[in-house]
Amino acid sequence: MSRHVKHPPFLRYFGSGALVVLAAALITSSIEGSWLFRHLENANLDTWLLAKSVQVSPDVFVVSITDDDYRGLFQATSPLRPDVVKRIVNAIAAAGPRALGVDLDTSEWDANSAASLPKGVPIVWAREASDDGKSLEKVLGGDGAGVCFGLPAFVPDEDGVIRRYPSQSSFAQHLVAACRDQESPAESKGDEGKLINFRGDLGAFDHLSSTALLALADTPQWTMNNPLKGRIVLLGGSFRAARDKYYTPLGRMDGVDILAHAAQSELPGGAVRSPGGAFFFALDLALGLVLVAGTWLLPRGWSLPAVFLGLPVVAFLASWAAFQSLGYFASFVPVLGGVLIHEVIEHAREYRHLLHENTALQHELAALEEGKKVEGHAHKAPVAAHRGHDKGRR
Amino acid sequence: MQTHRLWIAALAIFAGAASAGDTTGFVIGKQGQWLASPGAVELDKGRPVTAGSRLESKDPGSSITIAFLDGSAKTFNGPFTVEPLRGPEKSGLQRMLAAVSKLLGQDNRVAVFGISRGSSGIRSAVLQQTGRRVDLGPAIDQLEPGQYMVEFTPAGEGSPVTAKCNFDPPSAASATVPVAPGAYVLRVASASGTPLGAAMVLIASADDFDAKSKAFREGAALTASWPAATDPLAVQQFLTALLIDLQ
Repeated sequence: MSRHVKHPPFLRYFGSGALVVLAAALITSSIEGSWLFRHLENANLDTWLLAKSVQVSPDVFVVSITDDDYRGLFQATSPLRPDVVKRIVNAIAAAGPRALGVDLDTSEWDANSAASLPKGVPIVWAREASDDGKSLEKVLGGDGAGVCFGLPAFVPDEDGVIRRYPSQSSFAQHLVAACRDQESPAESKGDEGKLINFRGDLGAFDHLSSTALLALADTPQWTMNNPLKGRIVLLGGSFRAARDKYYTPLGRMDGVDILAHAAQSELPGGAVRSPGGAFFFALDLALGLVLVAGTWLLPRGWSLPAVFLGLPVVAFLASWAAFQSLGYFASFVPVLGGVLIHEVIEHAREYRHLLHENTALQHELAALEEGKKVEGHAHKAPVAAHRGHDKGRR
Repeated sequence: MQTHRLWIAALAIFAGAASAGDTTGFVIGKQGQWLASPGAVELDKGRPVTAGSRLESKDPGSSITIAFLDGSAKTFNGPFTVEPLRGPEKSGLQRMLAAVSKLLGQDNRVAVFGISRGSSGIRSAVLQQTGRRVDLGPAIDQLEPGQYMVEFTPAGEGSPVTAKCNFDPPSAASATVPVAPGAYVLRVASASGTPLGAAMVLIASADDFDAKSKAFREGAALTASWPAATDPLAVQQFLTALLIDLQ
């Protein structure tokens, strides 16, 4: 007799597996926006963002107004003095950046401020919207006519962590497009936002303090060759009184640094693409079906523990591979959970079958033992007589 | 053979560039003569410094200030070697394991401080009075919504008048205060009595508000054009004098 447990028929096994995987894929698709699913997805996404290789961006540079700058250049006074901000803006513009984003409140500036600003470099000015998103605050002291502006807004998740920025009229979009596509800001309510492809911590971008920049600006060495040239430069406050720090998957970060990550995400190849639509439904389904077929090949005695232990690893590696190679963030856990459920169902079916067989065998055994007993009683008397006869003979 | 030589030359140039290290900062100030080795390059203001290079000066009392590309600036008084800003890159497996261990590890909770900005949230302004209600918005609009205690002390003679303000702009930013138009020192405290700051304000009737408000804005704009090194106290005194003059 063979020591291997017999495999179930492939077509029946695969057919039932396909149904379970399809159901899992459909359920996944329908609960994508739920609180529970978002939390699971966020944990997965945060892990991959933390695991990314930290490389200094060759495209984006941050000029910060540090605590020392706030005290030394601005005499620790808010709102920041427009004339000093203009000096910094002029120094950045003279360095030859590709575009400049100013993440500072300019709503109280003099309405004629725009006239004295540098013209040769596209400058995107931060502008706030009201809480209901229906009106905009002033920018450069005016109504924004003729000014390139963007909304330096983020879309926090339910846990309060910043992972997304608005998909319309964002500061990052205008910065990367160098003000070529200024449109009226759309209402931001209900906007799920775009994922920020965090590149790592503060080390992801080169930084320079405003005081250092002003000290360097008039030197011939800096004018000839500086790290701002050709890059997107962001100017923003990192000083404590700005209260512009937010929680991100990488820890607390200044608003201007989050905008730098968002700008990097807007550059070609920089975005985290979220799964969705027919392609990822098909990919989910295909991976599930391949694994159902694969589990059929496993020795039946080991398939359940192998699937139970192996699938989390497969889900993890598949998600890692999609994120690292394609830039897609996808969670394969639900569909691979479907494969596990199918395997459990198959084992439950086999177990029931074995229980039936066992019951039938026990009945047969009991019947056999009953039959033996009857037969035993029938044979006992002649045997005893026979033994007595033998004894007498001895 | 010629191609090989070109390749070797290219590799040598590449290796030389790599060994020179990345720019980690720029000289923003110095006392005395400073040299960077290898190459004994004299350092001037604006010159980049690279990781691995050694900076030294033979002049007594010399110092050099470097602005690093991580946003910091440091002053050195003796010879030193420029450190790289970032450590060696971790392998993919190391990064993955570190991320997973963080995911499975204990969450480190960090306290946040719910402190308001203090007196910087209260500023000199012209406030409009309509009947007995005074619109406090222009003076306290940088404060968070909430309940505040306000006190108006006349700039001349008179007793202070206190009131409560349920500040929730833009719908609710006024308080009922039985005061006559004129210049007052506005003191603001939290509902529990913690002082938040004070500033000179001018209460103007609805008829005078536009003209006085415009005059004050022009004065404030004038201070914005003053040199950066102007003492903030001088700015505040000018605005206070302007408000008293406008009353």
